[in-house]
Amino acid sequence: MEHYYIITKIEIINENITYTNVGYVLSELDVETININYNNYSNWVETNKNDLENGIKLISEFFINTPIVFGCFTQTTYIEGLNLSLITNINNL
Amino acid sequence: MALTKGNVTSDRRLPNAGSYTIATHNQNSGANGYLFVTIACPATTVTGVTWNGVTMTLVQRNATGYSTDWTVWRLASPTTGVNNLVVTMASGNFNGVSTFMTSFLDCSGVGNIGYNGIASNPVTTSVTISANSMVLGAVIGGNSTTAYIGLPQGSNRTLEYNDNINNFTWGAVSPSLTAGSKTFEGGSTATNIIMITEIKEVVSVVTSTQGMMMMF
Repeated sequence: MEHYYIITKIEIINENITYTNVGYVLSELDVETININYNNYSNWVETNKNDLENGIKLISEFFINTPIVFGCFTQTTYIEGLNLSLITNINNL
Repeated sequence: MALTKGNVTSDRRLPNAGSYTIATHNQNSGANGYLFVTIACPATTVTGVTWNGVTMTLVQRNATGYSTDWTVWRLASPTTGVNNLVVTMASGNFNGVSTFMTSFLDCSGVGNIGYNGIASNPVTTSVTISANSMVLGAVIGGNSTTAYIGLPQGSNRTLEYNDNINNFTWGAVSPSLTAGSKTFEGGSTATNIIMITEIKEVVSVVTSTQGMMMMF
């Protein structure tokens, strides 16, 4: 069964964290490449988890220097109806 | 008609908020549709799940020794096509949360459930199931090295997700099984716990002109 890996754009819009699906890839290698920046984001959250939970830090602080993060953390077996395109050049998201 | 597994979507994300939306699952069209969702949520609890705005029903909730709220939700006759799954938690969550969505057709809903929260390796639990039921199986473990799930024991299935949630969680869906008491097993190189949900097929009742009733 084919697996489609969804590419999601993460950004702050009106002070809220917002997730927008922008396309999909078929290769796990592409997933790993796309998730390099997402892993940086994840590591920042992990490092600051206590401060985030206590409201000492805001998640929006990460996006001051990196306004957009792309991540590949959803996969599905059926892509029809999602209105998403296959991304062939992941360096041009 | 036989119980059929439809589309599957898995998601592991950092919500970094008190709720999140998954907009990438397509519920299959067909008779007797059902949607099941398994969620492993560290640090806080899931307070509600909706599909296309319709509240899903809690099937089982386990407060695990891995500080993870582990739940299964169901919805009969879900709206078909692509819709939003919205998961609401009791508080903002800055940990990885795992969500696994499976569609079924010719499904009559949930049957028996099982849970073994005593961490061991391997870990097993037994559930009595009806003929032709499928089983939704999930494991949480301290790591996912050589992770597997046997549905039933001895029949390891291809993992449909394997997510980092501070600990790790993975799972699969069995094909249709024969009736009876079954033992299900999960394992890795660390200790694990296991959760099982029986998915039942619709039983067709046909009444003949002679008044005889046959069940299929």
